[in-house]
Parts: sequence; C-alpha cells; structure tokens
Amino acid sequence: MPEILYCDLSFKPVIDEIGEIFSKKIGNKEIFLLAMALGIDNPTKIKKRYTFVRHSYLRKDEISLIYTCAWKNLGHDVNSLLDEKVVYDMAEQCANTGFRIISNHLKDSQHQLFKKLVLDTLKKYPQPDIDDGQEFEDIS
Amino acid sequence: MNSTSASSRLEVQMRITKVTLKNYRQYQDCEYSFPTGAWDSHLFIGRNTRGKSNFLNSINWCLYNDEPHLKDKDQSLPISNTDLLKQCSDGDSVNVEVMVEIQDDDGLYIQYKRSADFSPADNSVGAKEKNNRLKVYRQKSDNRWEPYENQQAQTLVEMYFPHNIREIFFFNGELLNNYFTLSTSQRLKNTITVVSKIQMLEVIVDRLAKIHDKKMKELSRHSPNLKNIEKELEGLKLELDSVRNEFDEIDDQLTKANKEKIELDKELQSSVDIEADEKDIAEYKNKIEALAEMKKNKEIQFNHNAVEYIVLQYLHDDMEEFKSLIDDLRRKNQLPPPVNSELLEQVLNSGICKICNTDIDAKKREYISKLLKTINTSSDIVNMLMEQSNQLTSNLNSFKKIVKAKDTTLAEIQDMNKLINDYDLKIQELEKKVLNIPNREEIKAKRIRRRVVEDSIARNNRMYGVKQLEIEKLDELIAKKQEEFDKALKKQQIAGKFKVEMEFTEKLLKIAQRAKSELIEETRIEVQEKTKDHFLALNWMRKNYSDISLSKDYELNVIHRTGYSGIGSLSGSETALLTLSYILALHELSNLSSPLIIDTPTYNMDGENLTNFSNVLSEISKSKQIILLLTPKEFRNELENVFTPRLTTLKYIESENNSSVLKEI
Repeated sequence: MPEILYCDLSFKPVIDEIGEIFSKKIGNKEIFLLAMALGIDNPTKIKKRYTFVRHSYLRKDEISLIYTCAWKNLGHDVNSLLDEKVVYDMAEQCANTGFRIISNHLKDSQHQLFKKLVLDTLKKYPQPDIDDGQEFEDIS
Repeated sequence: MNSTSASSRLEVQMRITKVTLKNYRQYQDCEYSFPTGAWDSHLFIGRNTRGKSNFLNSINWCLYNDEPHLKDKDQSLPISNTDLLKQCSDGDSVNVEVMVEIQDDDGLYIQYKRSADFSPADNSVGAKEKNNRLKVYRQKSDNRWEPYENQQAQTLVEMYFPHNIREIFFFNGELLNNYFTLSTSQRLKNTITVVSKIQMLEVIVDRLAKIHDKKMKELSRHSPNLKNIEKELEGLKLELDSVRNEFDEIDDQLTKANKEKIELDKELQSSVDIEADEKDIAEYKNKIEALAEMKKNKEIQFNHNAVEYIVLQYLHDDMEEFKSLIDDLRRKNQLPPPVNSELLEQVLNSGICKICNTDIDAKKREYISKLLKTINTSSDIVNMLMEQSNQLTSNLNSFKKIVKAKDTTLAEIQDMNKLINDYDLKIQELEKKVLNIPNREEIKAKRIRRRVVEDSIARNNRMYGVKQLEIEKLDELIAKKQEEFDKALKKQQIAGKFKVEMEFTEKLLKIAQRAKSELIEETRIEVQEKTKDHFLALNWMRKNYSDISLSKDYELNVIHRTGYSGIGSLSGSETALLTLSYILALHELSNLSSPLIIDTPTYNMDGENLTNFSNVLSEISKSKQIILLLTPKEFRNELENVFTPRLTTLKYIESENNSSVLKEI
C-alpha cells in the first residue's frame, strides 16, 4: 500500500488557488478526490511527482472511491484490484487529468469558470429521487 | 385719570385700572382699560402672535424689568417695536413705555411707569438699551401726585406685587396645569414663607443670630477651647450655607428643566420619531451584516457539499455498477462463504472437531485441507470485494444525503438572500421617510435635548435628595456642636456678663426662631385648609375627592373617595382647579387682594370640565379682578355661555398696520 499519493508538481499553483476559493477550508484529499472524479474518463501520466496526500488520512469510504475509479479504468477486472500500486497509480493519473480540467477553468481571475463548472455539474445531473425510507442495503 | 369713581367699585382692596403700552414689542400705542361692574371680569381674545403673552410680559417688564413669558423666537427680538426700530436713522432711538395703573384699598391711584430708549445695535441684530428707569406716581388724599424712584419705587411694587410670589398673580395656562410638577416642595415652602409675612421676624432672627455670634466670639476669646469649638461651629455653618446654596441651585435647575421638558413634550407630541427610524435602519443594517456573515459560512458549506456531490455524482454510475457486480457474484454463489480459516487450521493441527469435540478421520482431514487451500487462494479478493461492497453501499447512501444537504443549504442561502433583500427594502423605505420629514434635524435635536433634560432631571432629583440629607446632617452636627460648646462653656465656669448676654440672646433667638417656624407652620395648615375649602366647595369635586393635605415636607396630596391618593391621578381641568384653589388660598392668606391675570387658561379643556372651570373663574370675579387672555378657540360655547352675562370687558386683540390694537366686539 503506498504511503503517499502524488500529483504533478506543475499543479501546485492550481491547488493553492482552489484552497483560496474555499477560504482554505478544503483539504488536500478532498481536492485530490475532486480532481480524480473530474478526470475519471481519461487518465494521464504524471511527469514530475509532488507529494500531495498521505494515505493514512483517507477514510475507508474515500478509499472505495479510488477503487471504483481504478475498477472502471482497469477493464472491470476485479483481479487487477489486488495490486494496490496499480489502483493508486490509476487514481493519481485520473486526478492528473482532473487538475488540468480545473486549471483551465481557473484561468480567469474571478474563478467564474470554476464556479460555473461546479454549478454546471450540479445542473447537469438530475437529482435522484430521494426516499428517506429507501437506502442502499449492506449485503455483507 | 380713570373715570371710575371709587364708590362704584366692588369691595376689592386693589385692582388694575389701566395698562398702557407704547412701542412695546407689537404694541405701538395701546391702552387696556378695566372698568368696574357687577362683576370684575375682563376677557381679551386674540389669535396667536397678536400679543396676549406680551401683554403679560409688559406688566412684568414694567414692574420687575424682565419678561418671563417669552417664546424662544422672541428671545432675540428687542423689546422695542421692531418696525419703528428699523426706521431709526443714526443717533435716533425708540422710546418704550409701559404704564400699569392700580387703585388701592383707599380708592387712590398708583401709576407704575417703566421706560427705556432703544437704538439699533451695531451688528443690526437686537437693540441697544439705555435710560431704563421705573417711576411710580402715587395719588395722595389731597389729589396731589407724589413721584417715587429707585428703591422707593421698588418698595411700592413689592407692597402690592411681591416679586418672589408674582407667579400667583400673573401666569399662563401652562402653570395652571403644571404648577405642582414644576414646583418642588422647596418652592412651595418658599412661597408659603413669603405669604406668612414673617419678614420682620426673619430680620429679628437674623439680627439676633449676629448678636449671638458676636457674643460667642467675645466669650471664646477668653477660652482657647471654646475658640476651637466656635471655629468648628463656624465652619459647619459656612458649610451649611454652601450646601443650602447648592440646594437652591438644584431646585432652580429642576424647575427650569421640568418646564423645558413640558415644552419639548408638547412640541414633540405629534412629531415622527426619527431616532427610532434611524435606530431601525441601523438594526436592519446590523441584521444584513450578520446575515451576510452567516451566508458566507453557508456558501462555504455549500461549496463543500458541492465538491462532495461532484465526486459522488461523477462516480455514481460506476459505483452502482461495481456494487451490482459484487452483488451478482454473491447471489450466484460465485463468492465462497466467509470461512474462519484459523479455526480450520486448529482442527487440522489438533485432529479434533472444535464444534462436536470428536476425532476427525482421514477423509474429513483431506476435505478440510482442500477447503483451506481454496479459501486461502480466493480470500484476498473476496475480502477486498466485500470491503468495497460495504463502502459502496455507504457511499451511495451518502450521495442521497448529500443531495438533501446541498438542497437544504441552498434553500437556506436563498432564504438569507430574501431576508437581506427585504431588509434592504425596509432600509430604503425608512431612509426615504426620514429624508422627507421637514425640519428633521430640528426634531432630532429636540429629541436629543429632551433626553439631556430628562437625564438632568433624574440627576438633579437624586442630588436634591442628597443635599436635603446633607442639610439635615449638618443641622444635626451644628446642634451637637452647639451643645458641645454650651457644655464647654459650663465646664469652664465662665460666667460674667458675656455669658449672661449670650444666654439671653440665645434664648431670644430660640424664641424668635420658634415663632418663625410656628408662623410658617400655621400658614401651611391654613393654606391646606383654604385650598381644601376652595377645591371641595365644588360639588363635582366633592363627589370624587374627600381630602387635601399639604404635608410638613410641603408635598400636596389629594385623597380620592376610594382611598387612593396622588395629584398625578387628577385630570387636566382638575389639576388646574387644584392650582387655582391653592393660588386663591395664598391670595387670601397674603392679604394681597391682587388681580388674577391668566394667559390661555383653558387651552387643554373642553366639555363639562371647561364649563365648570369657567363657572369657578367667573364666580371669583365677584370679589376679585380677573383678566383672561384667550385664543378664539378657547372662547367657545362653554366658556362664552358662562361669562357672557357676567362680563365687564370683552375685546379683541387685532393687528392693524403691523401693530396690535384692541377692538370692541
């Protein structure tokens, strides 16, 4: 299991800017997961690694998001998920693409595009029907 | 000279027969005359600014050289008629003269004439005054007129209109309604002291006190100890004088502040409370600020929710698919059941089944070994998938919750935006309202002034009590010190003529002081009784009130039939009648049968109260001269019906060529 999750050094200013947008009230792991989600469809390789998130900071539900990302990009092969290095590399690569997307949206100084990205995302996906009594069942 | 003969006069001791005004304020040349009849009631009706209050002022100016009934706007205007003053060229002046003529109890006339010359001031504001003088002409029994000036003239004023109790002769309706509010118990005491006619006794007490002090000094020269005590005694007396002065000053300030407050209350009665509106504006602004801060926090929370939402939304379909795959594998039994491999290893090692506690044979051992191998091969992947299945369930449920949380936060932000907009609108409305108020700065300033005055009243009321206590304490200390002095005196056995003389003057002083106190006390009781007589003589008062008391502390109180007390419970007209009863009692006891001149006496009365009040006033005019200055609004049915058959004079004060004149109706 890797101790550290990395991002590309070139995205350090982007990460700082995201921190500013959220009045420094957002952590690295949340930024990492956001980038990973945004870039899930198109993983790209990191050129120069920069220490970003300690693995020990991740909760089990957050690790599960990383496994889902890997499962999607490893051809739905559950056997591949046994190799943790492969799993986390894949998550880092998706995040790398996500950082690029965010970077493009942050080019204007008012961060309007980033806000637009957030709002568009919120609008783009219809909200699921909420039924308080009906939750996903734990099958274990 | 007045043509009315003394024989046709009513049985009154003294009355005003004529007042002439020359170049005094809005009067250029005017004569108020007061003939006699069966009733001695004289009504003058004039709209505001025609000169009713200034008629009252003119009498005060003539007799006392001041004008206590000026309105603020008149304060800066000169006494001389301003039209004439404007026409003055360099070196010219306007001569102002007011003459008050009275007829005394012997039927002889006295004329009080005050005149002064006014010239325009250098800065064109106000006027310069010179040659202000009072002359009094007194008719002798041989019809000769004798002139008086300076101190003698002033003595003749004091004889008929004592300056320090003039408020019981010339006053306005405001005093009728607020006399007991404006007057502190000290003021009532002072008035009663004057009415008690103890001036001669006061002179005696003062003189004896001085002689006593002198004797004490002489005596103390013979004894150093006595000298010390005497010094202390003197120090205490000086302190007492100083505290009394402070007390009088507080009393004076209280009276002024109460009067100012009543005026401000009246002026601000119907004005918009600008300060309240401005306070509301400030409160709305504070609310907006607080909401903006809350909104900022909510937006941060919303952004957090949004980030979590985006992550879960982007991964949602894949999570569902991943979970579905695991669920399928499980449903199709393609995942082995969870087995405790440690237990199986223990069974293999011991050869005994841990559940039924029997030996296992070779066949069973082979089966368990095979099972254990299979489990070891697939357990890692199964464990991983089971773990993922649990977390996927949790994440999918979190997604539902985050959607709700996001919406709730968004709704809260929208609510806050709405509130901020509402408050903004309210601020705009209030700002518009405040901006549209005419004289808003003036009203605001008056409201601030009223607060200052109220603070001053509260402060002075406290100080009033404190000073009273200080006086009482000092009185006690002085008495003790005096006792100490007397004892020391006895101890040293200093007899001789100083001691005898001092004791003699001391006895005389005590007798005179006691006589003075007793006289004042008697007068207080008489004032109480006569006030009660006048007040309860009115049938409709007797129905409601049973008693009136004037306490030793000079607190006037009215007892209602039902038992409760307090003049605060009286209506406006009842308060006016109580004041009138009190003033009439003072008139009787002062032996000064001077007239009553009242400016706007009924300004806040109507209906039955006005009829009753008019009846009382008109009844008084049988034995006392009554001069009323009324607005046309006051001279309405109730008052007109009562007075018309009993009138001696009824005239209108009109304005003609910018000058006030009297016209017959």
